Formats: sequence, C-alpha cells, structure tokens
Amino acid sequence: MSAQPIQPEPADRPAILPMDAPAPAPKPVVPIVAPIGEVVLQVTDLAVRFPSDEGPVNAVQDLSYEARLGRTLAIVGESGSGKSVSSMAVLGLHNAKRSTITGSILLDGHEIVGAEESLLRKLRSNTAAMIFQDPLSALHPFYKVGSQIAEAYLAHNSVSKQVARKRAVEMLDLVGIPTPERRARQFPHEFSGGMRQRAMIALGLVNNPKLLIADEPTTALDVTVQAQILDLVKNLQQEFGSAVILITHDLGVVAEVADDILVMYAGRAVEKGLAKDVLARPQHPYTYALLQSLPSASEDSDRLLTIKGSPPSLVNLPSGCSFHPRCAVRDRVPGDACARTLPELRTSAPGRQIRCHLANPEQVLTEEHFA
Amino acid sequence: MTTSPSATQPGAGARAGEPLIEIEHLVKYFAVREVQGLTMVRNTVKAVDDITFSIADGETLGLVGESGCGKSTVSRCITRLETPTSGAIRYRGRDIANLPEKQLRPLRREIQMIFQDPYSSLNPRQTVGAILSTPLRVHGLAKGKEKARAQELLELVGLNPEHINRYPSEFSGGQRQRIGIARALAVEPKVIIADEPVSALDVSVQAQVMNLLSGLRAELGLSFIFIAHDLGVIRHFCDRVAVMYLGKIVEIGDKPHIYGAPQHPYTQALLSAAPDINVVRGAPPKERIRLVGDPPSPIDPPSGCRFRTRCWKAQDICASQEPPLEDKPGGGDDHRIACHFPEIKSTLVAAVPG
Amino acid sequence: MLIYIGRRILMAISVVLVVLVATFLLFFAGPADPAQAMCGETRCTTQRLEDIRRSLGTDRPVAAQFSEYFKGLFVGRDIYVSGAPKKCEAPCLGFSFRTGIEVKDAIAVRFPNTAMLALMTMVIFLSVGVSTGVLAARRRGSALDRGIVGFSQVFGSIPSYITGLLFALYFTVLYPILPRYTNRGDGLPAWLGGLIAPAIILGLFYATGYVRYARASMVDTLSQDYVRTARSKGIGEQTVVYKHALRAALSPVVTILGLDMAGLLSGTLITEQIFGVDGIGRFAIESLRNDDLPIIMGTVLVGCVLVVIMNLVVDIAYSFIDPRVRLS
Repeated sequence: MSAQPIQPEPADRPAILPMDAPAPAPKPVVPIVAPIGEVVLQVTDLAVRFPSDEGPVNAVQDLSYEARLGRTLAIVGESGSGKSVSSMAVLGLHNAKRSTITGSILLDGHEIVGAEESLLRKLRSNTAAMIFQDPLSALHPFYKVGSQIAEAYLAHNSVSKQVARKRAVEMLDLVGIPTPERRARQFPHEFSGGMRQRAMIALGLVNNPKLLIADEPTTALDVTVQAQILDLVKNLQQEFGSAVILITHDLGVVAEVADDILVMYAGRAVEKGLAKDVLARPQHPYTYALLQSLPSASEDSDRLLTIKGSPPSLVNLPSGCSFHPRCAVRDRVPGDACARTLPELRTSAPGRQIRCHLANPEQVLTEEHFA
Repeated sequence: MTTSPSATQPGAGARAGEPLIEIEHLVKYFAVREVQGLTMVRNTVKAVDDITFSIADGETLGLVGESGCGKSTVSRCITRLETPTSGAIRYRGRDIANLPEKQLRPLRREIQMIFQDPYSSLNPRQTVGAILSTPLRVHGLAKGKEKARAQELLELVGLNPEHINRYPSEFSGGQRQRIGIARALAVEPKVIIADEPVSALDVSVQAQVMNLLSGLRAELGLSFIFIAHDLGVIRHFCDRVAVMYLGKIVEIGDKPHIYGAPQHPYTQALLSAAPDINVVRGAPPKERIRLVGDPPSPIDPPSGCRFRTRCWKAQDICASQEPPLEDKPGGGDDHRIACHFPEIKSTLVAAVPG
Repeated sequence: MLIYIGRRILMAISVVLVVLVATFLLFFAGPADPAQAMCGETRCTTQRLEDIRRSLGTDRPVAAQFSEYFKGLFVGRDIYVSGAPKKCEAPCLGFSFRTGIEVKDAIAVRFPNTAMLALMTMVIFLSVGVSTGVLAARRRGSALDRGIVGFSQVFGSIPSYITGLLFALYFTVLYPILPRYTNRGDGLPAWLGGLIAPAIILGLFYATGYVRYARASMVDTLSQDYVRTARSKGIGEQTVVYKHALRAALSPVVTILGLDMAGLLSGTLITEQIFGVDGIGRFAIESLRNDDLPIIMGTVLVGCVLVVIMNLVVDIAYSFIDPRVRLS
C-alpha cells in the first residue's frame, strides 16, 4: 500500500476514470472485435424450477432479456427473486437432474438450455465467465491463486503450463494487484478481501469472455474497497468491450455502474429499461417502493416508506400479480384485477417495460399514495 | 407498555442533559499467537485503542467504519460482553469497566443489545414466549404476569401477540429481528446498542425495522448506539456520528457536520465511495476520492496517524506524530477531528437540488 | 513447525506416562493376583505363593515396582526369573510372568502380523469406502445413493464377529477360495495370502463407516462455492470432482483415518481370533486372562504410543493438505 495522491476528477468528466491503483500499464489483451451493442446473450421465456418437499419451487418464470457487448445490465432483486438462479442457468450450472429448465438461452449463438456438457464446457469461461459474491469461499482454499487462474486458461488454450502461469500473473497485474508474481504463488487466505475479489475478476477475464456475470461482487466488501472494485469492473469493461451482467440488491451500485436494469420480484421480471430512467422515474410499484425505502447518505429523511409483509414463498405464489398482497396501490386498478390476473410484461414507454395493471403508473406512484 | 415515554425527544437538544454514558480512553487488546517461521510469536490485536466519547440521555450515536475498525468491540465493551483492557466506561457517572459480574447484573438491565443476525441470535428450541420471558425472570420483572408482558412486547414490535407459542423458525427474517428487538426491550432498558441491526435483512424489510426502531426510540425515550457500515442507514437514524478507523475515532460530530462538512480525509473517502441513487436523479456528481488498497492489520497499525498509509495528504508529520481528536477551525460544536491537515469538503454527497 | 512438533512430542510423552501409571494402578488395585493364578487352586501353599510373588517381584511396594519398570524403559535392568538374574536391555518391557519370554520380543513377533493386516484392511476400506461414498454423493438422492447408504448401514450394524465367522466359514472352509492363515515362517506369499480373508472382512466392515463419512463430506464439498467456480471455468467434470471437490472432502476423513489406524495397529481381537491370526489383539487378551502384567503393560504401551503418533501424523498431514492450517 502506498500513499497515492488522488486528484478529484473535474466535474465535467464524469463517466470513466482512471484506475485507483498506481496503474500498471495494461498488458496487451486482445479486445473483442465485435461491434459494441451486439447481442451476446438472448434469454427468452426462461423458467427454472426445482423440486422440493413442499412442491415445485418456481425460481424463475417468463424471463426474457438480452445482454449487449459493451453494456452493463443490472439484474436487481431481493433474496429469492431469481436473479442468481437465472444467471447460473446462463452457464448451465444447474444440475440437470435436480432442476427443470425451459425456454431458451442463446449465448453467442449457442443454445444453452438442454445443451451437451461438452458444449457448455467450451463456452464456460471462454465465452461467458462468472464472478461470485464471496471471493473467500469462491476460490479453492487448497490451491494457489495463480494456478487457479492458470487452470481456466489451460482448459481453453493448448499452451504449456508455463505460458498459462505467465498469463495468470499478467491477469493479476491487470486487475491492479501489486507484485503479481509473488501473489500468484500465494493461497487465497493470504489475500485481503479486496485483493481476493480482484483475483476473482482476473480469473473471470482470463479467457477474454464476451460476457461477464458478476453475482453480488461487492456485497462482502467494505465501502471504500467496493468503490475500487466497481471502478475496476467499469474500466475493464471499457477495455475488453465485453457485456457485463451485474447481479445485485443494491440500487446505489446500479445507479453508479449500470446502463440497463432488470428488476425481478418472486422469479419474474417486473420492470425493465435504461437504469437511469428506471431509477429516476420508476413505473412499477415495487421498484418505486424499493427506491423510497432506501435511506440516503445524501439527504436527511424522516420516515422511510416501507413495503408491508415479506417476499412470498416461491412454492406457493400469490394469485394474479405476485406483488399484489404487498402493493400499496392495488386499489387503483379496477375490478381487483391484480389478485385475479397476472399482468403481462408490457411496453409502457419507449425502451421501458413493466409487469403491472396500472394504466398510468407515473401519476399513481407518488408519495401520498404510499403513506 | 409500562415505561412512561421520556420527556427527551431524540434529535432535539438531547445533549443538554448529563451524559448517560461516558467512554474515556477505552482500550481493548486481544492477544493472539501465530507461528512465524520456526518461532511462535505473541501478537496483540489493537482492536480499540484509546477512544473517548459520550452519549447524552435520549441521544443516538452512530458508529461507522469498515470491518476491523473496532466498532463492534466498542459495543461489546460497553455491554461488558468484553472486559476492557484499560479505560473507563461510566454509566450515569459510575465506572462499570471493571465491575464484577454480580454488581453488573442490575446494569445489564439498562443496557441491552440488538444483534445483526436474527437467525443465530435466537434459540431455535425456545418459543417466542420463552425467549421473551427469560430476561423477565432473570431480572424479576412482571412476576406472575410474564406471559401478558411477552404478548405486550410482541404487540409493541408489530407482531401478532397470539404467536407467542411459535418458534423462531416460523418467522421471516424481518419478524425475527423484531423478536430480537422485543427481547431487548423486555427489561425496559435505557440504552440500546444495535450492532448492524438491519444489514442482514432484505431491502424491502430493512425500512420496516428502521421505522420500528425510530418509533420505539421516540415512544420510549431510548438512547441508542447504532453500529452500521451503511452511511445511509446511519444518516437516517442518528443524531451524532463517530467515524472509526483501525481502533481509533477519526472524526466525531453532529450529523449535519459529518455529512455536510466532514474534515477528516477518511470520512470524506467513505462518503465519496458510498454508491448513491441520486446520481441518476440529477444530483451534481460527487467529488471523487478513491482510496488505495485495504485497511492495514490492527496487529501492526501504522505509526502516527493510522490512516496515513491510505491518505493522499500524508506528510512526514503524519508518520511521526499521532494527531489528537480535537476541535478544528470551521468545525461545529463538539465536532472533533483527528487530523494534521483537516479541510472542509462539502461536495461528497449527491444531494438533488431543489 | 519444529517447535510445534517438539511440543506435541512432549505432550505425547506425558500422555503415555499417565496411561502407564493408570494401567499399573488398575492392575494392582484390581482383584488380579498373578501369583495366585500361577500357583493354581488345589495344592497352593502359602509358602509357594510367597515364593512365586518374590520371583515375580509383586511382593514389593507398587511404587518400587513402577520405578523399577520405568527405569527399565530407558536404561534397562536386571530381572530375576526363577531366581536367576536376566539382563533386559532398554527399552525393557520385562519378561512374561507365564512364559519367561522377553515382552519386547513377544510383541515384535506378533506386531508384523497385526500391522500387515491393518495395512491391507486400510487399502480395502479406503478404496472401497471412499470411492463408493463419492459415487453416492455424486448421485445424491438417486436409487443408487439410497441403496449404498442402506446397505452400508445394514452391513455396518451386523456385529463383525457374525459376518466374520460366516465369511470364514464360507470362504475358507466350505468353499475354500481363500487360503487360511499361516505363520510368517511358512513363506511370505502364504502369509500374505492368509491375511486376505481377514483383511477383506475387516476392510468391508470399516468401509461401511467410510462410505458414510466420505459421502457426507463430499455432499458438503460439492455444494461449496469453489466447486461452482471450478465448474464455471469449463474444466471437465472429472477434474471438478476429483481435483477440486475430493481433495477438500478428504481432509476431515484423514482425522478419522488416523484414529482408526491406531486402533487397527493395536490389534483387532475378534478378527484375529476368528481367522487365527497371531496378532497383538489376541496376545493382549490372553495376557489379561493370565494376569501377565508385563505383557499387559507392553501391549498398552504400544497401543498408546501408536494413538499418539497417529494423532501427530494426522495433524502434520492436515497442514500439508490444507494450507490454511498452520501448526500452532
């Protein structure tokens, strides 16, 4: 650790900023030569179901979205909303015998649902990689960090072990780990939390994938370290041009890094759109209430708006709209439709979709209706 | 509720009265043994290293800082779950830092704790009724009417009093945290020490518990020490804030000063790093401060100012001389900063104009 | 690490000492009287009894006997056998009250039999137990898994003397597919062949436990985040299971293995008895029946040292398996 003067950025250059660490000159890692915005992942009508003693768990239903090169899609939801389950399906990581997956997941032109293990193996890490919430448990405690990264490179490139090892050191350097040669020979428990997550990112990017799925990558980290990691992911995305799916429950993080947002509730998408639009003017009552229930570090707040009750059981979902028992504005929809019919995900504005019966959400979603 | 609401309202001139709790030069070291090469080394984790602060009757103090800064150790010392290495902890003028267990018991009634994890802090084999009446029996309260009192407590925290015979596993996470709160309130405490009480909860449930705590604070006139890493939660709930780093308080003051005009670089870095939704709501961009690396180990903290290894202002004096926690020019009343180069910054939060 | 091992050895020595003293005292506090047993019941005169006591040395105070024994362990001593002094080199475990053979030699003759049986047993229960456990864990919830778990529970709960007797009866007597036990003197192949039958039955019996340990540990490991990470790298399932999951799953099994090996090396009474293996277990029981104190002490000492050594071996092995474990 060194004392590094960090100049505050001028206000007119807000978007992407240099990395925080004494930036080592990035190694020439070949960027993706596909056009920014190309769809690399197309999920259509995805449903994931698990058997359980109480009955089938409908973890994900009717889920459709796409991820584009160079863009960050945030999938937001609480525990049990299906955000992690749906992303693990993208890499085919659910045990086929203990889950039922229907619909379509097109990853770089390959169908993942029902795919052979050999195809999945070729695509994992090479086309789509994943980084996980808790890097201490996500890295193997018995193997050295460098060899864990090299293993992923060796799986997809016919190179010698030495070349793979060198590549691992390069990657550690790229993610801002000082003395990468030494660090590559250490075990995960010898790393600090932030360093471990950097190593995890190095592992994720070692094969230069088109899609990086980050599952709560900063939840286990401290605030100042979280900021470093988010910056790193943003910068690397710029450099690699890959698509990023960021799974999180933290709307503040979404506001800082995401281009697009998908809000999930009880296994279904309830709102989709550009992150800045959705966060500034939410149209689904759940998104609205969630945003209003967050205490802000920037403003004083008197009483927080709350969502009554707690998320429903996925074994026994409420009739109609899954959110209706907790919705404060369901009486604004005539005929008790919310309890009877499941709303379709419909386009409510250009580039915006909501799953809600409300005809004029922006007029209804004001504080007085939630008091 | 048998406690009559206190006259003191939180937030409003609460510091006028006598300090309820005074912490003076509190130190807590833990001994650890490690193998280094061929020898065994005894090391000391300096979890809390000489901190001083006080809380007035009815006041809420927020303790904020990153993991390993000692905020939880402070709370465990105040509740005497740990015995401090040195220093004084005065409750209503009486030093309880080294009080033997027997004399401590009546005081334990007045200082109660709420824990982070509502799953592991409740005994899964006890009914809610048993969980709530145990502290009553221990302290000889509500004799013969324990059940009625337990039901009253459930109602107070917004749970159905008829659920008194249920087990913790039959409740959701938010409801379990409510049970934890009811248990703390059972013995009519004066001070509640809440250690990350909402961080294990889902976002939609967090606000419910926060509002419940705010309501109870106003209704029962409680004082709070509120420990959290979430700066939004602290801002919402607290009157005063103490920012901790590696076992030291680096800045302490009223909420408006800490959030609006912080002077310590670490406070500034924390505020700048906190993700904020307001950045998409038209707030001007926050001033951007990014620290390098992770906090150093509390086993071998840096000399002088402990923050200097990550501070962009650090100079020679920072390594040789520890900055005292003291008033600085431009600071507010009772706003103290431990820094050789304090500087007011007011551009670290993303407030939406208008 | 060296300091750690040094400490552990010191601790081990004190454990052995405590066990020695306890065994000594138990023997003397109990109703056993070797002299009475040797003297017989019908024509035993008081004079004869006294003579025997004197020749065994059991007429002296317990403390004196123990200090004598203890001294012999380190520097050797002279022991009067039938009136004549006999040199007993350190580490001296004394002479058998019954046969007059030096205990050290008696144990040394039998230990290889027990040790080889233990080794062969270990090979069987580790290979069968762990591989079956891993198979069950990978197919968790399937009919195969339930079958494996069910069978291991049933087989494991039948007392080993029943399965052992039946096995011996069927495979070495009625359908003599497997050779019977012979002594080492009859040649190495015959000796090893004779140990196959007891090793199989003992190995299968132990394997039932290892199936369950390995399965439980593997089920737990397969659900760990790092196994998911390994899968997400696009490496083969075999590598995921054997390189990533199994290594982590085996570390708790090593602890049990250490204790089981210590137990096996100190002798397996029933199996040795059934198959006629001349091992430590049978030897110890015979000496107990005969109140043959020096042999009892000797076998207890060997067993105790083995347990302590295996514990140390397990701990050191652990630090090699799991880099997070630092010997402290």
